[in-house]
Amino acid sequence: MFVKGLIKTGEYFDSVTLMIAGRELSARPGVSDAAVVMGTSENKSILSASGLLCPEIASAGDADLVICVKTDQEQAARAALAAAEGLLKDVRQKGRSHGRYDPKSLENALQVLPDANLALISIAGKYAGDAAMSALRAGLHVMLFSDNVPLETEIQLKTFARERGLLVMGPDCGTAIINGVPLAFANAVDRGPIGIVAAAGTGLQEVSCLISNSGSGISQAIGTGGRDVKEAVGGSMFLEGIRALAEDEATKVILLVSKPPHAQVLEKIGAAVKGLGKPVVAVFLGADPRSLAGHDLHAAATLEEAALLAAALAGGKSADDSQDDLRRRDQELAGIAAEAAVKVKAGQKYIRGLFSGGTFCSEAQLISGDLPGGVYSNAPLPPAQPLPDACRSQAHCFVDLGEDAFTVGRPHPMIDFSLRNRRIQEEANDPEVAAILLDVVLGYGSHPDPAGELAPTIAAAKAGAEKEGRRIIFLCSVTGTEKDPQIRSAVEKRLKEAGAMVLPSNAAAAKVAAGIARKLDR
Amino acid sequence: MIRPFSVGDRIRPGEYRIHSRFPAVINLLSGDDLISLVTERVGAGPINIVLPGSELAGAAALSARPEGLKLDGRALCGEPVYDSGLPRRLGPDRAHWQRGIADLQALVAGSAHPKSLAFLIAPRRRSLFRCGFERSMAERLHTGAQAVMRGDLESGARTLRGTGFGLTPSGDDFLAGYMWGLHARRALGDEDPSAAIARLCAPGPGANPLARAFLRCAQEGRFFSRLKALIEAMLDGTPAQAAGRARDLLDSGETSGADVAVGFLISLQKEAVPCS
Repeated sequence: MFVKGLIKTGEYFDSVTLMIAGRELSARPGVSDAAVVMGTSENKSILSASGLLCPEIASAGDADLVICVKTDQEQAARAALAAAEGLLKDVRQKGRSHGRYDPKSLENALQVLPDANLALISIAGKYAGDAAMSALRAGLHVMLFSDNVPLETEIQLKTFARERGLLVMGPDCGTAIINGVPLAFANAVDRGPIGIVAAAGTGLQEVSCLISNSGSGISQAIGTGGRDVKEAVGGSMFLEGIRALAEDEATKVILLVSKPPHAQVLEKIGAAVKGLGKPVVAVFLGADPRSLAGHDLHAAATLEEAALLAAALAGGKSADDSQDDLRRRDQELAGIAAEAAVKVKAGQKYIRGLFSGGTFCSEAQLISGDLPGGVYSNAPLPPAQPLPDACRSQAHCFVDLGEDAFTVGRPHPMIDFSLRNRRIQEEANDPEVAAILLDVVLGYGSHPDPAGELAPTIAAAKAGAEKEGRRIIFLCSVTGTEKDPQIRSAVEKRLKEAGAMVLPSNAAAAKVAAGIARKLDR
Repeated sequence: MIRPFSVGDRIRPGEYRIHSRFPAVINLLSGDDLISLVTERVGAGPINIVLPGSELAGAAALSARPEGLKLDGRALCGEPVYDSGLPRRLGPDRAHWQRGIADLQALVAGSAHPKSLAFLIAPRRRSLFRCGFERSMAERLHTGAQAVMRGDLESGARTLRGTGFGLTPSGDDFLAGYMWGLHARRALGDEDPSAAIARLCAPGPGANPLARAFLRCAQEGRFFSRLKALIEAMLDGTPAQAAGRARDLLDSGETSGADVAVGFLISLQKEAVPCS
C-alpha cells in the first residue's frame, strides 16, 4: 500500500465539501481510502489509526487542510492527489445554488433593492395575504400569484391598496407585463401603445402576443385575478387598472379582457371608460352583447378580434377596417375547414378540444356554439353542457386540463404535457373523432420545449389512426412570439412537420374546428 | 454608511483582517479575536455582525474601536446590539421543557445530516460512517462523548477537541453545545455549571481560531440567536414553534447545528440518551 498526502495552507472549505471530496477520492480507481480534513493533531491521530498518516503532512497545523490517500500503486496516489484540488472546487461549486444573496424577508429585499416598487408574491394562499399586506404597507404594488387566498382577504387588500393608490394584481394572477418586464407566465412582447387590463391570464397572453405579432405593442398589461370582476370584489382593481392606463401617456388604446363581469361591475366599467379620451376595446368572453350596448367601448367577441381591433385603432385605422380584414380572414378559414372535412373517413364527426388555458377552452366553446350532436365541457359555457366525467369525452367536447380535477398533485398542463399527451392518444383512438384542437402556450414559465413534447404524440396519433384508415386533423394555435424562449416559428415548424395545422390564434383554430364539424354533419 | 441588522455584544476592539470567506459568512481575525460578518439567514450572535448581502460580498477589513465600527473604511451606524445572554428563568414549566427536549431529540435523530454526531443519540446512524477514516473518526468522537457523559470531562474534551471535518470540527461543536446546555440548565435554576465548564476547558485553547472563538462564547454563556430562539421556544412556544426553531438550528452550517444540538441534548438529559 502507498500512502501519500499533501498540505494546503489558507484554503477553507465547509465540512460537507471535505466529506464529499474524501468520498469521491476514495471512489477513484486504485484508491482504498482517503481523507480530506483540517490538520488538527486530533485529526492526525485518526489518520494514523486509519493508516492514512504520512510524513508529508506531519507539519500540518490546525488551520491547514490535509489530503491523504491510500492506494495500491504509487501512481494512483499521485493521480488522486492531483485530482483533489479540482474535486474540491467542483464539490463546492455544486453545493452552491448561485453566488448571489437571496433576501429572506421583504425588509431585507428592500434594503438590497431600495427602488423596487412592486412585489411578486407566490407562497401558499393562507400566508399570502399577510405578505401582500406587508408589501402594501411598504408602499409596493403587489402581484399576487398565489391562489386559495380567502375572498375577504382579497377585499381587504384591494380596499387598502386603492386608498393608497396601489395595485393588487391577483390573487391567482398568473400574468402581467409591467414596464416591459414579463411577470410570471407572460411572453416577450414588443412595447407599444396598447395597455391591457385582464381578469384572465391566458387571455392576456393571447391578446398581448397577437398585438405584438401584428406589429404593434404593449405599454402595460395589468392582471387582476379572475375574482376581481365578481360582485363581491366589485371590479376594484379592474377599475384601478383602467384609471392607471388612462393616466399613462404611453398608452393610446386600452384593451379590457375578462369573462363577463357582474352586471354592477360592468356598469362601473362603463362609467370608468366614458369620456376617457382613449379608445377602449373590450372582450368579455360570453357576455351578452346587449349588456355592452350603450357603453363607450368597442366590444369584441373573441380574443383575436379584440387584439386586432386594438392594434388597428392604435395604428390609426378604423374599427370597420379591422372588421373587414377579419371577415376576409374568416372566409379563408371556412375554406380551410371545407378542405379538411373532405379528408376524413365516414363516421368521423366530432371535434375534441384539449386545452391548457381555461380562457381558450371558453373561447372555443363560444365560437363553436351549439354543434350538432351536442357540446360538452368540464368548464361549460352555454350552450355547452357539463361533461359527466372529465376524463372521458363525449360528442363534441372541450376539456380544460388546467381545472382542479387534473392539476391537484401534478404540475399545470402548460408545464407538464404527460396528461394531455395521454388524452390526445385516447381521443385519436376514438373512431368518431375527426379533429383535435390544441392550444400551445409559450413564454416564461411555460414548458421550454412544447413542440418536443407534442409533436411525437401528434405524429404517433395520426399514424395510429391512418393504420385504421382514418385521418385525424390536428388544429393547433401557438400563443407566443419570436422573442419568447421557445421561439414561436420554431414551435410552429415542428408541429407542422408532425402533421398538425397551425392557425394564427385560438379563435381561428376553433373556427376551423367548428367549420369541420358542421361540414361533417351534412 | 452601512446599516447592519445587528451587532453582537461580544465584539472586541481590534483591527480585523480576512481569515476565511464563505457564501454567507466572512470570518475576520484580529490576534486571537474573531468577528463573523454574516447574512441575516445565518443570524445574530455574540461575535456576529449581520449585514445586508450586498454589503457582505466584498467585505475585507473591519476596524472595531471605542468610537465605532468601520467596514472597509465605511462606518456601521444605527446598529441594534444583539444580547447574547440567556436571562434567568425561575419556575419554568418543566413538563413543557421536557417535551421540548424530547421533540428536539426526535428531530435530531430523524433529520440531522448523515455525517453529524446524531449517531450519538441514534446509534443506528453510525453505519452512515462508511470508509475507514470516517469510521475511525466516529469511534474517536464516540469515545470522547462517552467520557464526557460519565463525568470524565477533561479527558472527554481532550479527545473531542479538534476532531472532525471542517473549520469548526464536530467535536468542538459538541463541546460548545454541551456547555450551552449547562448554561441553559443554570438559567432554569439548576446547579452552577462553572466547575464543569472549567474542567471542559482545562485542555486549553486550540490553534484553530474559529473553534477557539466559538468555544469561548459557549464557555461564557453567550448564545447564538438560533440556539437562543430554540431555548425560548422550548420554554414558552408551541411545539410547532419549537420544531421550527430546532430546524433552524439544524440548518446552521453543514453539520455544525446538529453537532451543537447533540451536545446540548446530552448536557440537558444525559441520563436519557443512548450514547453507549
